[in-house]
Amino acid sequence: VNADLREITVTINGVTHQHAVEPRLLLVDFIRDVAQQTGTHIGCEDGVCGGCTVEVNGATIKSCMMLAIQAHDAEVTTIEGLSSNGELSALQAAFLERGALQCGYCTPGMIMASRALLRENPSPNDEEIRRGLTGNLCRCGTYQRIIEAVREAAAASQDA
Amino acid sequence: MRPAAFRYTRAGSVDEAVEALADGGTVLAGGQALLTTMKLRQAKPDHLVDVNGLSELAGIASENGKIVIGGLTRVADIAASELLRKEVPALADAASKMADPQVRRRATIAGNLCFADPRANLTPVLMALDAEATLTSVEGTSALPAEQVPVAFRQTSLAPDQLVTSIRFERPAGASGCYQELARQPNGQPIVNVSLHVSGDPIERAGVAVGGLAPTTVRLQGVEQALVGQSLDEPAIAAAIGRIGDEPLEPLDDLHAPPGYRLSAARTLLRRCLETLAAGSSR
Repeated sequence: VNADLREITVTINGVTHQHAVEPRLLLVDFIRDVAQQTGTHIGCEDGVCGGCTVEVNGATIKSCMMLAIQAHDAEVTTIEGLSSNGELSALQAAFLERGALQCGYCTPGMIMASRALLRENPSPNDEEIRRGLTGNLCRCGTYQRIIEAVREAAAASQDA
Repeated sequence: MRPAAFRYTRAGSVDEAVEALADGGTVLAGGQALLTTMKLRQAKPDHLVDVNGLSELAGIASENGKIVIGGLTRVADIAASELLRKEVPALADAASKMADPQVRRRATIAGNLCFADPRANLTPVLMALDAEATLTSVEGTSALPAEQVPVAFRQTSLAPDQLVTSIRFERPAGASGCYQELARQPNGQPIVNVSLHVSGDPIERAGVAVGGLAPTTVRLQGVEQALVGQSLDEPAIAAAIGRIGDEPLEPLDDLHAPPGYRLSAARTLLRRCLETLAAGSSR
């Protein structure tokens, strides 16, 4: 059945993973099942919910909308790659501080998308934050606190 | 949801890509539409040819009075392009209204045109601009007007071995354009979208295209003819809008909107475009 297995090498949060995969394997499945980095979540599997948002060679994308084999030789950053030595990044800390979650399922994707937003626009207004998070759904409806957390992280990085 | 199995080729050059396409391959560009249809098993290509490594197919340039956009140019880069925001703001506007940031970073201009969905964001703008797609195959290179690319719902006139390497159009110097859409929410899939490009006062050339009123995005030639020779005053605007429906339209009928509502929305969006341009040209 798996006649067409292909050997790929993907670096995830600095760790290199080599594995034989079917071309149809989605990047999100490689991240979760092969690399065992389960902070990247699967919600809709169809490019809508944003729970699987990661960075591939610095571009923030939805990993259910890309094949693992397309990430061959690429550098991937997931939510697990944001903290260093157990210390949360400013965005993670702001989400925690503001209680910007209820169940937390959308949080990794929200934080990855917010990170891209702040990279492109370091001091967004509320409208720009909303626009920047169009691709991420929170079924608990904590949007207001998510916006506050992003606003706070932006302000913190301006002070720094 | 997982796609059916397929063979995968990562193309290292345009030549390699078109050879693989001639061998029965299907182009994988941004994948933001294709992968969805593959997961639903609506599409079951048996060989994907990944062109994402062909960086020579990405980029936006102004050359000899033409604007040339590589087929692999990401929608996010079109939305952010200083050149396009200045010279063709309607195209940058349509790009910024498409989907979400993550999808826009992957989705490509050629993919948006060639997925041939009648609600494509960029296609009405390309048609209104008289854009041409440059096609490459093992046979060589040819050009095809954007309006001839879609032929039916999500079907194109392209031969299976043809790759859209770039999209080009006359630099719309002294022209003004507009893009308007009706969607369920900001950055949602358009229910109806309209684009208009006119030059001259009185108008010498008008390009008008609409999505959501037929199985493909279509040019509205009746509206275009009504605009030529006119200045954008109220009688001219009303007369032009009255020509929607000159062409035999077949508006989509789905849970988002019935045909009559779509026609009414198209009239409103076209009016907004014309009024926006009228206000701009009077300054």
